[in-house]
Amino acid sequence: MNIREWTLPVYTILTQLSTGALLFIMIIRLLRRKTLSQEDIDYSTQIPILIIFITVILAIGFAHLHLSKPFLSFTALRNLATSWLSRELFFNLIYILLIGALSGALWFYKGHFTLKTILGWLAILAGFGTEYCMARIYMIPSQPAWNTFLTPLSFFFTTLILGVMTVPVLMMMDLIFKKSLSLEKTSIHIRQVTSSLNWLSILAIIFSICMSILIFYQTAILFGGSPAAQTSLLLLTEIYKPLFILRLLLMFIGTGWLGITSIQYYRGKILVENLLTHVFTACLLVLVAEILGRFLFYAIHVKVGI
Amino acid sequence: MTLIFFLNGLAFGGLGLASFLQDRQGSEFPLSKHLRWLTAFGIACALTSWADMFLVNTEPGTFLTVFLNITRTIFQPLSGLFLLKFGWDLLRDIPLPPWTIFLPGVVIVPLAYVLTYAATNFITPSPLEIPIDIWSRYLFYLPGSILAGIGFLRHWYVHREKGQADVAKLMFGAGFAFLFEAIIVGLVVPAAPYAPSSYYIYNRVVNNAFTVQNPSISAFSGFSGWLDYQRVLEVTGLPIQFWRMLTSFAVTFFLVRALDVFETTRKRQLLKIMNERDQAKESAYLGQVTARKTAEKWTETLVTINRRIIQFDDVDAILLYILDQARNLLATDFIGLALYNEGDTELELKCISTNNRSNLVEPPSPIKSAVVQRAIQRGSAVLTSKSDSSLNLTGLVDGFNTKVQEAGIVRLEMEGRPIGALWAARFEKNPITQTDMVWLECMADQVVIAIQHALMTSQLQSLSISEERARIARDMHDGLAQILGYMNLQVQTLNALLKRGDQESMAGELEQMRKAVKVANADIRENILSLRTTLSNDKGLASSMEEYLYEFGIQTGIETSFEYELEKEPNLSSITEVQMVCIFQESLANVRKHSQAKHVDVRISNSKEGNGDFVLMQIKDDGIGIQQGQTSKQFGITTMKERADSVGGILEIQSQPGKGTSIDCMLPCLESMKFRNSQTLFQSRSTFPIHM
Repeated sequence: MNIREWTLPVYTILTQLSTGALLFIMIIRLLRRKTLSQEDIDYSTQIPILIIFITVILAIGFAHLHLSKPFLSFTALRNLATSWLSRELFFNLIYILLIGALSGALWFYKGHFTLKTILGWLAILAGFGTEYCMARIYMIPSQPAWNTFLTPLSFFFTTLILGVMTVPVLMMMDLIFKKSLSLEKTSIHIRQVTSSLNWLSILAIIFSICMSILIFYQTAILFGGSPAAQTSLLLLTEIYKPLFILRLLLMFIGTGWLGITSIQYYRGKILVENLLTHVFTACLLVLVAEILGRFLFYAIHVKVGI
Repeated sequence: MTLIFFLNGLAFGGLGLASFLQDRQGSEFPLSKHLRWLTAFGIACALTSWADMFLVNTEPGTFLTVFLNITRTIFQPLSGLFLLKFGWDLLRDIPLPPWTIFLPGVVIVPLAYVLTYAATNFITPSPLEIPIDIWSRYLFYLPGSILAGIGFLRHWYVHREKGQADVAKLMFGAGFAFLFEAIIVGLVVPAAPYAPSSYYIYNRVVNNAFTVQNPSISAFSGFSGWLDYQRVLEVTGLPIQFWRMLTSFAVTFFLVRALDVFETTRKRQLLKIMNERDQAKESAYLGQVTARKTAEKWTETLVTINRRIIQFDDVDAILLYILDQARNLLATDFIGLALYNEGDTELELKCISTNNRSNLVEPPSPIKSAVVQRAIQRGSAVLTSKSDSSLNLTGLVDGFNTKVQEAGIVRLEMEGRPIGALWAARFEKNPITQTDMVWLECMADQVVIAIQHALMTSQLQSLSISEERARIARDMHDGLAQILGYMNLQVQTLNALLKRGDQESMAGELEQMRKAVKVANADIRENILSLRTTLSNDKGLASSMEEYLYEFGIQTGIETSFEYELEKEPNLSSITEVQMVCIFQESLANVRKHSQAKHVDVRISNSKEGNGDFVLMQIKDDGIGIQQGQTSKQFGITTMKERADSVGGILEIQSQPGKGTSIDCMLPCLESMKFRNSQTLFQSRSTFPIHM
């Protein structure tokens, strides 16, 4: 891939990351309803959701960089009935609008908790819609390596794994920021981190296992597939073998790191102030693993025919 | 090229060595705690550069080339890592703004992409040292230099704020040198088969990519072209190594100079602090000396005041002395004393002390100042015209037009009742301190003591005069008046006998009259002797008593003896001495009037009663003693007993008809009065037997 082509994975990864993060933040909001007031829940999620919104904007911005005429990108919407690309863009626009509305509501309107919840879940649906359309673009018969149900499934799992890895980073940044400003209610954030870190890390490990099963299942499919599919497998196991191994290693190391951090934190061996370094490193490793996975996704495709 | 590599290594080696030495010295420079990383960075850079120097002159494929390649492949990423650590620590030296906590969130995605991209580059066929070189620059050197550059710029800001301009300038220079190095060393990389370096010309990668030995390249495009060794050479005419050498010299120069200047500045500051400390010590010592001298002056003044009080100096003179001393010692311009008049209706200025004069105010002028009245109500007050411009301080100074700037007022209190006020005033801005107020209160106490003492003395004098008058009146009534009455009757009798012409009876009556006149004469003489015998400082108690006894013997014809067994003057209080003399005189008067004695002995000695010391006065005569039917009242015994009682003493009389009388009087010394509870003494004395 050349430099321009790299902007496309940036878009897909950022969109997946933002959707996953939003999903788990909305789950946390749901879980905290019994222990925190609605106002406190809004207060503790407004900065993470704002960051997610900015991430989504950046993602669409990066997506435009791989276009020859970025200013005409809106014309892609005209083929909504027939093109998965148009549908992806459509869902993505809705996703951006919904998440922007949610972020604005969290910052500028007190109360309206139900409305915010609805906005959040609609945004998640739009995000997953975007990802499904994104995956469908690649499911073309001439590309045997991509044309399986595993493509959308792996996209969804990437969303989930990046989501669980990103949320602790967002929460910790928010906590340290508010602590440094000596704002009140930092105890809410600490409780939130403490109560969420364990199940997030368990989910991360489960997702990484699921992801590796998917990867090996895809390898098996390629092994039994057409000559083009077998060529893709050959690329994966020969030229790109180091990257393939590295991708799996980084994913397990990253999720494992988060799991160990969680255990050490509950044992009191890691202070809450030092958590950021660990969750950041874990997230970075998984992110690299997922970008490598996306690189391999593009690298091993072999066309059938001309 | 060899020279450039050598100098480059020399610069970084120098930086490492200087940092190492500075680290060993234990500098207090904030930067110094990261010097070990800078040392490691400098040494690793020097080794890399010198490896390059040898590579230029070594045949490819030899063992030495392999060894040198391995050396630089190890040390170059290491140097980048050390620089990254140094830059990170340096940046965190000064607390970052809170918003920077979100930077990891911003950086994480691009960083992940760069890392992924770097990972993909390693599978592209090329010599391994090429991607290691490139990615150690992109991943370590570039962020490390940027962090260090920003860190130094932040230090520049802090040192500038602290007023350390010399160090600040060098920090600024070091910051920019590191930022320049970020571009020259961190971004410009050797040719490689992938972006952003010139991947499109593969041959260059193989042929001495590091040292630009194959310059026959011309195709460059876009931004990435600027990150190529060859492009730098073509544009500037100098190889990248030259520019790197310049940046290394710049970095080394600024850092070594900064460390040096900081140490010099630090030493200068330390010297200044030491000088200031010495000066402070000296000032403190001088302050202590001054304080001690002041305290001594105050003590001396207080002692003098008390001495004058007990010497019964004139109270007005004592008050003027107190005011004078207070003004001098407090360094004030004015001291005033006001007392309430007899009816407690008005506060009157009694006396003043100024720089020019100290005098009583005659007649006393009334004080209407509200601030004085208010201070009397509160107890004391420090006033300043600055703190409250509405305060009228001019009323504090009698007869002065100068405006009072600072003043301190203290209430005078006697037995819980305010009797007036003492105040000090300054005409210039020199605040009355709390210490001044303490001393002023101390002087106010002295004023009260002097007044109280004067009042007591006056009362005692009045009492003494009354008592003396009563005694003289009693003596005249008992003695002279009765004799004169008797003489009047005798004169009438003589007149009757004269009319009858009874010469013989007249002679008898005249003889009786002569005896009565003789008795009256003796009484008068004794009274005169008593009145003449007073206790004074010039003559001691023993001398006065001995002299009195001697005169008594001459006047009465009774033989006397005086035994004084004490080694020195008895240690009795003044009032005890007075009572002792009175008992002594009364006893001798009884001897003369009633005892018909021919001899009287007086003995003064020591005696012990319980834990106390007493003076024992024994007066013993050889007269007829106290006869049956005579009461103690007749002889003034009750009075003598009361006198002894009043000072905690004991009086005992032993007498038998025909065998004389002995009076033992025990009077307590001063020490005994201190240690013994007088109440206890009175109780024990009440059980003491009196033998009649």
